[in-house]
Amino acid sequence: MDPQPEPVSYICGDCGAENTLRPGDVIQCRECGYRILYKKRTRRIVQYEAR
Amino acid sequence: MPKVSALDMPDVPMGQLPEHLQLQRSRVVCKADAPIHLESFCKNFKLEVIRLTEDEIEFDMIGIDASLANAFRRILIAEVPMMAIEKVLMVNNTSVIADEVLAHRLGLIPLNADPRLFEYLSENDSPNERNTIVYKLDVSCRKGGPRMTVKSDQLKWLPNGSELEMTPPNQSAKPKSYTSFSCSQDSMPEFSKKPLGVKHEDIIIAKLGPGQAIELEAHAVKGIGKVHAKWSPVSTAWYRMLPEVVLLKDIKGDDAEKLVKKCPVNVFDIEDLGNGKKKAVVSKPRACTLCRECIRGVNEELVELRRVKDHFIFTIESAGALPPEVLFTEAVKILEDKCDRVISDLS
Amino acid sequence: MASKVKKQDYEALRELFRPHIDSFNYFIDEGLEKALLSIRPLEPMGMIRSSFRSRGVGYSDKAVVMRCVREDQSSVTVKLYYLQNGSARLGFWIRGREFLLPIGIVLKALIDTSDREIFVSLTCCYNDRYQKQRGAVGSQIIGERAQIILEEALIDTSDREIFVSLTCCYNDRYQKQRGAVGSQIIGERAQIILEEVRDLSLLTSSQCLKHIGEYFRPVMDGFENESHTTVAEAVLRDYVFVHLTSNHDKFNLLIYCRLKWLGFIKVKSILVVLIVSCFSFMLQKLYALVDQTVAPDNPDALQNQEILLPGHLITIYVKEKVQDWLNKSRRLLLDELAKKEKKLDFSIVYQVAKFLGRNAASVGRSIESMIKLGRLATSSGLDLPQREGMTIQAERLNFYRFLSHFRSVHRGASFTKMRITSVRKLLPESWGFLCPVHTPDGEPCGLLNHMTSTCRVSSFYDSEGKVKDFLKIRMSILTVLVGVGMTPLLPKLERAGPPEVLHVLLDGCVIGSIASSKVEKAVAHIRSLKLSSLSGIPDDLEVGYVPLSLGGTYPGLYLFTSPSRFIRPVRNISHSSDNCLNIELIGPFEQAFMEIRCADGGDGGRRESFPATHEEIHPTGILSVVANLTPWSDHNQSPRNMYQCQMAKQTMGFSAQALQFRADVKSYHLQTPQSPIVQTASYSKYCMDEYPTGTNAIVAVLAYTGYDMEDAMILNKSSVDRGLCRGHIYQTESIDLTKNRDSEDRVLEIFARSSDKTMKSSIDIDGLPYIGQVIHPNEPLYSTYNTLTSVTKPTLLKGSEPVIVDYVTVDGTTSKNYMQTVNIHTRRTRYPIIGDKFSSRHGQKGVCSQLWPDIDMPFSAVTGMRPDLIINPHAFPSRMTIGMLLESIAAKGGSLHGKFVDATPFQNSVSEKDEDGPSKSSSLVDELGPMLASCGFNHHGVEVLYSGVFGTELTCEIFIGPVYYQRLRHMVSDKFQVRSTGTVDQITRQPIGGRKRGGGIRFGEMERDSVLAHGAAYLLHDRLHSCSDYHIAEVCSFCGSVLTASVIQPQKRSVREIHGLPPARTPKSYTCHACKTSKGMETVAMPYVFKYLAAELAAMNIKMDLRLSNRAGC
Repeated sequence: MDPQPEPVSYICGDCGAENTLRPGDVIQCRECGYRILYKKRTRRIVQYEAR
Repeated sequence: MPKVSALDMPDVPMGQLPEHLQLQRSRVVCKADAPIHLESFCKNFKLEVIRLTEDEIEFDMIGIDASLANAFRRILIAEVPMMAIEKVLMVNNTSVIADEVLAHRLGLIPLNADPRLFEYLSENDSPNERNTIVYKLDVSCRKGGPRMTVKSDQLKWLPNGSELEMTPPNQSAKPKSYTSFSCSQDSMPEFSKKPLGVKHEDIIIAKLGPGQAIELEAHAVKGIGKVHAKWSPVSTAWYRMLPEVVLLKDIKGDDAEKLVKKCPVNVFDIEDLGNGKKKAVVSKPRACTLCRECIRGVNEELVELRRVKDHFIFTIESAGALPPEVLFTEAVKILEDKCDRVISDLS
Repeated sequence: MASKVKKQDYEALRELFRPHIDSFNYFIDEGLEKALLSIRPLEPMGMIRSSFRSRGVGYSDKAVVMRCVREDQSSVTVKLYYLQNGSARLGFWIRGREFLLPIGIVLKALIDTSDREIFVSLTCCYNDRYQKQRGAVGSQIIGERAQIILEEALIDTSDREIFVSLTCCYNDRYQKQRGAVGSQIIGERAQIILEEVRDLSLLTSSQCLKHIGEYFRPVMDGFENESHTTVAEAVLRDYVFVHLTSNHDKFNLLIYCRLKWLGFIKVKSILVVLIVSCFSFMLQKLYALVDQTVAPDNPDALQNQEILLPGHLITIYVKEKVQDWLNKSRRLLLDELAKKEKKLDFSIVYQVAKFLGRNAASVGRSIESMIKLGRLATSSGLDLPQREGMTIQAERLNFYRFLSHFRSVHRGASFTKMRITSVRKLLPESWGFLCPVHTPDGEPCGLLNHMTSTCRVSSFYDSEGKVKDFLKIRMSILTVLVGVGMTPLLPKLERAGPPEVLHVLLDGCVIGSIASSKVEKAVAHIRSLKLSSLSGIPDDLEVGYVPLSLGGTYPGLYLFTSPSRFIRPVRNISHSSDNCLNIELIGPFEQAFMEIRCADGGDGGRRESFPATHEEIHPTGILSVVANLTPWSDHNQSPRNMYQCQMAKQTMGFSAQALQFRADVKSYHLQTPQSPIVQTASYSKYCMDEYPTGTNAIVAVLAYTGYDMEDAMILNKSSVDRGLCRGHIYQTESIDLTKNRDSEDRVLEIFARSSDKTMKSSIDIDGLPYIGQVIHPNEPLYSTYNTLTSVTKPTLLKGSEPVIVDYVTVDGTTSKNYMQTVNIHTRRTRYPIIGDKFSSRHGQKGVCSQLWPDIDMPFSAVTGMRPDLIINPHAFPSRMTIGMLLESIAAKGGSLHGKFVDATPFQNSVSEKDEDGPSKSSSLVDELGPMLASCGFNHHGVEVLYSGVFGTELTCEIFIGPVYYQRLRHMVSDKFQVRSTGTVDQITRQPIGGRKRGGGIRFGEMERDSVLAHGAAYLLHDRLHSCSDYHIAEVCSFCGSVLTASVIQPQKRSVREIHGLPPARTPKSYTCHACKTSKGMETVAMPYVFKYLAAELAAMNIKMDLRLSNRAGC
């Protein structure tokens, strides 16, 4: 495990609010309390062939 | 005209043709069977432009063999180079359209770039201002706003090359851009007048819902249609033989009227013979689509649909990057190159 | 499920087609959507089966079978067997055992009646008066009858009465006339029944009850302390004619019972008054069957069937489970009360509740497992034909498949194994209810049917969605019937049977009789009342009027209001009323006796004496939803339409609207689908554009390259480049770490990434992949951290294709603080490649054989178009799919004129009636041709094409046009299997099988035979030996054993090194363990399995001896 983990962003499956979680955080939306979160898309560049 | 085999004609004894014809029938003589006799070709070959618009040309190629006409067609479709988006660097895409689908759509957008001004990007080359055009698409739909349509005019040309940086292999290394442009394409004389945009500005690329965004960079390179259809410079290019519609008998009166009415493309017309007599004539054989509507059922002995074997009506529909007449000359050049190569390889 | 359809559209649709666009009810279970199978239970009556003989000595092959249904849809089947001596036995099943009771005992036990009453009711259908006309058989038996009557007078006056009652259904006058159901020997039989009872010296009702009670005590639970009578009453209540609640009804019914859709009678209060009149419907029918005055009923005909709906199945299953639970709780409570220390106070609720709660969870669990596994864990069998396979997974491959699951009706799993084909037959009775086209070919052919698009199933709800009040409905029906001349059972009992009067049965209960002359008018009146909503008569009432016939179905007027019957709408044309459509709902039972005209204007061979009273609404009503979508299916050879129904369900299309939010385990998706240019009326009616399944491809029909032989097809490479038939596969992997861990050590596992740099490229800090990332096979997909061992373990991507991570969800509902449950949704693109399967909508499937370069494809002279797809003309002559040719012409015309073309089948049969002139066009081509001709195209859809390779005109004109093509889900990428070397089996050392494991394809016996026949010995040796389990074994030539060889340790390496010799491999030397010598050791090449066989035999004390020889042929 990483020594000081950075937070990862998730989007609430219900209200759409963005949540950042660290390992060990409660998996729950801070806005509405919904417990299923969608991981936010990475901004890492993905290369595609336009074919 | 009743169709009788030449061998059954009364002047042919025992099915034997005259000697020269018999020879032609049974033997191959190189010179005689060659499709084109050079001298006569030079004398007889004609090219007439019938119609020329921005995107389309129709011309007649007369006195040429089908194989050559077909060669031009094939080269036009598959071997004249074009610029098309080949690489898509997706930074963000939260829209409903999947990344690779979006990339595929971008690839098919016709670009307004003259491929003659670019070089091929070979495997070992690094992308530079001579072989790559970089476009950027950065759109987002406001949260709470209406849905949004992303159109091709939102693709922005980046004359200075890619703005994105590659993730360095190690921490210390300096981040590198995806392209290595030595100068801005703006400053180059051939591009400074005409920006390298897209051909049509209203092509729908994607639709965004509130809160969705697309951020990407698209790199266009030169290629040929053989590799992928997106590099094909024409929508289509084809030819047909000039139709020749022959009336084997005179068609008069009501029958003439009927015949004229039958043809959906108005090949026939009526000639007034005076004192109320009418006669059908073939006025526009060129328009004939060989649909056989005129001979369906009734007129089979009256009308014959023929084609002129060495008269080709050639049509080129350009996809936009180059005008159609230029495309044809490009095709001719490519065929020339090929011939040169064959000659040099043989000698 | 939330529906994506516009609200008003949906509302409009619901009228026509109830379960539409995702409005089905199904269970979502562990990520799988499961639908319950609908099974058609048997509901026959008169049956002849040789197996009945094996019930015991004296049994004949005839019986009347009845499935009685309680109000809650639970059922009990009773059988009435005919005995060769003329008596009958009532049979029913308790706990997997069949119990047979003499009918007389049951009759007597049911009500306290005199023998006379029984007799009269049994014989009321026989009448001497009819005898004369017949003349042949009757006379001696009349004498016998007189004798019997005299005898009876000696014994007991009441017996005589019984006799009269039993024989009243027989009337000699009607013998051999239309409608005679009784025969003169019925009196004898009635007597036999009564004598049987007398033989057992059971004369009164209470005696009979006691007898039954004694007999059944061992098998009845919970009656340990009750009297025999109570037990008997319970037996009669729970197993005999459960659809009726009073014994008097049962009595009537046992006698009358021509029951089909047995309803449930709540009208006890009325019927108690109806005591008496011992009609013997069931017995009469049995006797009629024996005497061949009525025909046996066909249990395979839809006429005699109803449908087991999932809701009803669950109801009866829950009922049984709750009963079990209550029984268990009762036992617990009794045990607790019996204990010395009386802790339990019954007045304190929570104490009792504690006991009740002990087993309560089992009810829910068993329902859950029933839905999950489709297995009924039941002791009684619930009177269902099968216990397993009650659920199927509602696959969302595309919408057609999904929808078909909810319209399918299965005949029962037991029939799939039977050799007989009679159950699979398409019977005329199912006309309009079950689709003749939409059934799979192969194993479930004819057993798995689909309801037609117009067919519905009656339910507890009326058309407004309110729960039906069956008591009210029955009362109003009764009032109407009495109004039209029915004599109710109530005040005066009528001892008469057919043909003078017909009995009227409502939901399996005799409610009265009606004179046969009045019936037809009465039926017409009831039908007219069905049409108006105000009458109180439900619109789905089934009015089964069986007219008098000779050797036909047992006559009577049978009315049904019960749920789970098939119903379908037809137009009533005899009832001319103001401006309404007169749509009447009819059932399969009444349909057989109705005159329904097809809408084509013809009379259908109907004679003038039977004018049509009803008319079909549209001919397409006989087709299922999927079959309805085949354009011009009436121009195709019928098996092709069947194939299309199957293939439509295998296409890649739009499986669901909100793919982004769905977590299907696997779903297919077509990237750029289109609406078909040629579509049927149903296509827009059912909003199929919401779920399109194909592409309009330009199809040329010609033999071009040789690559289109044998149903192969050539795709244009440029079309594929531009996205033709491109598809995606979405897959969801659900990872629940709480379930993964071993049950013993409750080690906590969470998602986390190790600090290892190599993982950073594909896995995020949380141990999950980056969204939008491309992951290649054998790259890490996610990684987990074991808190006990502190080891981070990546899980690699399986398969051979790269995937793109579509989305990842984390679920906080299972474990609060740790990330332990995630769904990883991945996507992969599938371009069409060689070997992928495609099909048109006419059962013309083919495999892509080449992606042909665009420039080599033929091109049209007029438009310059190249086809997207080339198929071989040989696909047409033998298959006769004219519909496909028509589609091509019509789609071409449609695209030229910019409009969709209607291709509803059987159009001309409807339009001919509407237009008064003689049929205007002789063929469909003459209608479609002008569309093409007006645009300068050939009338017949052909075009002049030029060869793309030679540039010359093709010698004949080519048929070319757009055809809607579907991409099927069978793709080579999922199927190809190739191997040169690889894993071998541990025991046999032969290559393993199975595509996933990298195994080979079996070279089986038939392949071996073929190679042998060719004499290709070397190839055979290579395939079966060298490339399989080639092994060089050491065999001892002295003892002939392959197993005794053991290795002699080679020279020590150190020794060799000292001598300065190279450490070369020397051949190992062996010694025979048994002979203790290495002299006889020989090397023999053999399959390793042979050695294994020797070892196996040795384990069984069999020694295998090999005789070694150098000569060939010895």
